[in-house]
Amino acid sequence: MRMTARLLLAGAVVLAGPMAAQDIEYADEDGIQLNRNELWLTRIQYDSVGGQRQAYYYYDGRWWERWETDFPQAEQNFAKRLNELTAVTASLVPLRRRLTDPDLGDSPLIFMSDVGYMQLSRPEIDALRTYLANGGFLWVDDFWGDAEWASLERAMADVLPGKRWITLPIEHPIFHTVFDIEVMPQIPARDYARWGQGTTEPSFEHRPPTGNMSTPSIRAYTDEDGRLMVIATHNTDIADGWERESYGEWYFENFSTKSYRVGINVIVYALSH
Amino acid sequence: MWFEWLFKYPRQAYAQGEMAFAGDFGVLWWAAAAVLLTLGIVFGRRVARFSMLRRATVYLLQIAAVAVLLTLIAEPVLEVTRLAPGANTVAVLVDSSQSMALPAETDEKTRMDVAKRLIGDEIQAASGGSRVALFHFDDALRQADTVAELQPDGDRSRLLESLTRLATHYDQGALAAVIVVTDGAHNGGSVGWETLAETGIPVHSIGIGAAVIPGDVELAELVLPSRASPHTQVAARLVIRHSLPDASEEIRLRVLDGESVLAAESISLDPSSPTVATDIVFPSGDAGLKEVTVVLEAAPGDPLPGNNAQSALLDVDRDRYRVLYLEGEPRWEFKFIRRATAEDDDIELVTWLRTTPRKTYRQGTSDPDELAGGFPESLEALYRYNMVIIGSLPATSLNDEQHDWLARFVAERGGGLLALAGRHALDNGGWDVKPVAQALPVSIARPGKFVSYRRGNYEVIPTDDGLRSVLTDIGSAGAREEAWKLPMLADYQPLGAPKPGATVILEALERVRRVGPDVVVRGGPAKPLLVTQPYGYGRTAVLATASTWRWRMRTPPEDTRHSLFWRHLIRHFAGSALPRRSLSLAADGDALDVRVALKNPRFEPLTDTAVTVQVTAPDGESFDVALPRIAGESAFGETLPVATPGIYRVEMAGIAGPAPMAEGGRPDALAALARVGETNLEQFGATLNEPLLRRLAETTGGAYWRPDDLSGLADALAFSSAGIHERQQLPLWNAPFLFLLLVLLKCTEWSLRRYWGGI
Repeated sequence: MRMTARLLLAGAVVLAGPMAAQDIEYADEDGIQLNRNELWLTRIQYDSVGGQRQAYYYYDGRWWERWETDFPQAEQNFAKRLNELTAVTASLVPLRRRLTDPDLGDSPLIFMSDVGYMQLSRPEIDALRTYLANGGFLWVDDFWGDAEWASLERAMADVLPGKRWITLPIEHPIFHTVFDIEVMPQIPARDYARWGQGTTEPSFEHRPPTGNMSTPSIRAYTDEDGRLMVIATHNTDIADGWERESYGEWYFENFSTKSYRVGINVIVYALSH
Repeated sequence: MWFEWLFKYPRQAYAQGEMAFAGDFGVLWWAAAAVLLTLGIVFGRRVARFSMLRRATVYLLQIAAVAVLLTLIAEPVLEVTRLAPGANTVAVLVDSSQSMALPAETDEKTRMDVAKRLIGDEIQAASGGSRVALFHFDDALRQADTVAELQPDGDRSRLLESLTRLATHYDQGALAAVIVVTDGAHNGGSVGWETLAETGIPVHSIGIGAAVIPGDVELAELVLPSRASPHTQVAARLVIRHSLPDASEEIRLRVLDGESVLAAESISLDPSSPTVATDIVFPSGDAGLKEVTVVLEAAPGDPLPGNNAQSALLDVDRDRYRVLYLEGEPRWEFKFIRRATAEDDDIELVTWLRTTPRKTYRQGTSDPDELAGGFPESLEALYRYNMVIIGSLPATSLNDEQHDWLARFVAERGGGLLALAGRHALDNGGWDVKPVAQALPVSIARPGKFVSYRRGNYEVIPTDDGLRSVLTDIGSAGAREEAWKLPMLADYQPLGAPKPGATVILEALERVRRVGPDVVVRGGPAKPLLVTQPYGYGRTAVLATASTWRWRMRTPPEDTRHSLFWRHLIRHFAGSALPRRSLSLAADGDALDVRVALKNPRFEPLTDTAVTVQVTAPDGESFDVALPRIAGESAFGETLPVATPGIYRVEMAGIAGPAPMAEGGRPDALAALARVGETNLEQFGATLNEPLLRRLAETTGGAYWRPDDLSGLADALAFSSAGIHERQQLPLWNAPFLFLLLVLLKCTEWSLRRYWGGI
């Protein structure tokens, strides 16, 4: 594991420059950026309810809205790793889109984070329903406990009424497309990762009531053919593992490598199913 | 008529005969010439005061008159060959099929009544001294002793076959001509026109019946595919002929499987369009053999309600296409091709995807070993697929032998090959120097070292050829061009020139591309996007993009165009693949023609074996038939006579020796169906087929006759080119033409001299 981590770090440093140069951005005659790279990591911007520490929070010297948690560093790091470790060609420049943006269809995979206080408008619900019906793939990450799960559950019940969430067993192909993952990893935010302590984030950081947050899982919506449409990595913060890969060797080896394994499997699954 | 009065003999005599003189040019002739010349000189003195021109005119008229007189004295004759009286036979061949029971014209008499009257009166008279032999035909040729034997009860009209048989096999005397009395219906057998012409017997055709049957609506043609997948939509092509009166009429169409209605719709028939072609779509339903019947609901007063329905056999069965898709990088096109084909139960997509430099991901494989080493590791393993799709995969992923196999897969196995665009595709992947480049429909030689694959905005435009191709059939009927207004593509890989024989189906038009902060390139010529061509037994195509997935993601969910495009594409190219075992069956009259072709797993012809088929008759009785190898061919076959009309089923019963095994994917055709004997055939095409009868006469040297005017038939028969002839001299001295000419010359001369004052 230690050797793998060093190789990953070295690869990132060597490849970051040339990879960035590969990115070519296209724009229409009005200068609007068009999504033309093979894989763009697209973060969805949404609205949240509540005030301080609910809809937004203060961290690292500024106020953050919930949707932008880990953005854009997580996507940037993840894109580098995808280009380095897989045959996928990912843009190093992540996109930010609202569900109602007209070019959302150019990103067949979208990513949402920290959805514990998310509130979708009617146009956003309709747009997401259309997007998923067309074959789009939604990945929701970094939400913990019962209340935050209930928040996502309520929102998605409006998007796809009648659908039931299923918890994916470890035998599901998504755990084995590239890497064989035997245990769903729990990735805590860097600030709560302590040597010798558990991997579960403290409950005061999340929407109460949290209940038991110790078991990470991938829950999913499937279409009528059994293909995954929406996955939710619950009680874990996969994207923080990408974002904080350079914050310390111990965190990288114990969490970032696991985050990349899950992330690469999900991306390849989305690109092939 | 006037010709014969004026010249004494019919045209045929002059066409065939030669002019001659029966008298000799002796003393009498020379004396007459001297007398006439003397008289001319005597009379010439009386016109001596005329000018030279007038004298010359009068002299010429006089000399012409003298020449006519001398000709008459020399006894002109026409030397002809005519049928020798009593030595020849004229065969009269009457159509005795059921259509002859229909009214001849608008009166109440049937066509057969008219035929009998003609035989009894005019034809008998026209035969002259020749013997008349009476025959009739329907399903076969038969001889009749009396007219009373002729009954319009045959269920088929084998006109050409019967005529040829009569002309080549008649052995009861010299056959001088054949007179065929028919409405021109010809619905059984086939004989080349050359064969008929080579018999040398002139055929005189007498057409009976009306060219139009007022008020009739006929389902003239029903075309169904022989095979369809269960629970899919099947299109039946109909051709409707009608002769409705003035106003348009709504006719109800129904598609039936037994008594259950599969589909129904109304169609408006316009009197100004007597022939209408239309499609009707119906569900194929469950698997099994179906006799599908299309019925036009008869309008009141339809004189021929029996021609309002037709049936065809439809074998509803799975038709699996096994497709290998090799992709060198995870990308959206891969995902959305998989999604599109997943909607089609008949397409089995097996994919091999390179996910990392060292790892691959297989989907759709039938066993754990399939594609375990990447590209199939034997020719036999490759030949288990019907089609191969090559994505963004470097050519180095295959070894030299595998590259050869891929080219042979198309040329010899008849497989389909589709090459997609990509960073590692076509020339960018090094495929331009591999054998498969020869099979592709465009040149993919790279112009330089640059990566040609690029991203941008490309509008898709079907070409004129493309709009006629099944590959562009993604919209409703009549709106195909409109259906191709799709979201723009996001990438394109330039192609070289299409090869001779290739067809450009789609073109790409670049719209806007920003190449720098202030530089925008607009438009440009349309470039080939989807190009196809046949290659050997198979088909190849290049699709110079990998972003058709935008047609799915940028349209409403109910839009099926992306899915239809890919399903058509794969079915078309995978459909060219040859089966390992094929059994074909054709019904011809009362015979079944069975053919079987076998190939080994490398698709080499298999001939050192024995083949047995099981034939199941309409009554359920089965029997086995051993098929001999067809001389000079790598196939087995036999023509089997059968007696009972109905549906026959022929199945492969056994193969001796190294029998080829059935494999996955598209099933081999191991059973076939055919109907022997059509019901109600004589109700179709029942109008007078005058063009056929005219062609028949012209081909053989005869003539076409209407039944109300047979006045020239006797002479046409008398001077027939076939039969036993005798030479005759027909005197012409008393032909009215010569006397009229003499009178005309003298009257003209007299009138001129009178006018000029010389008389």
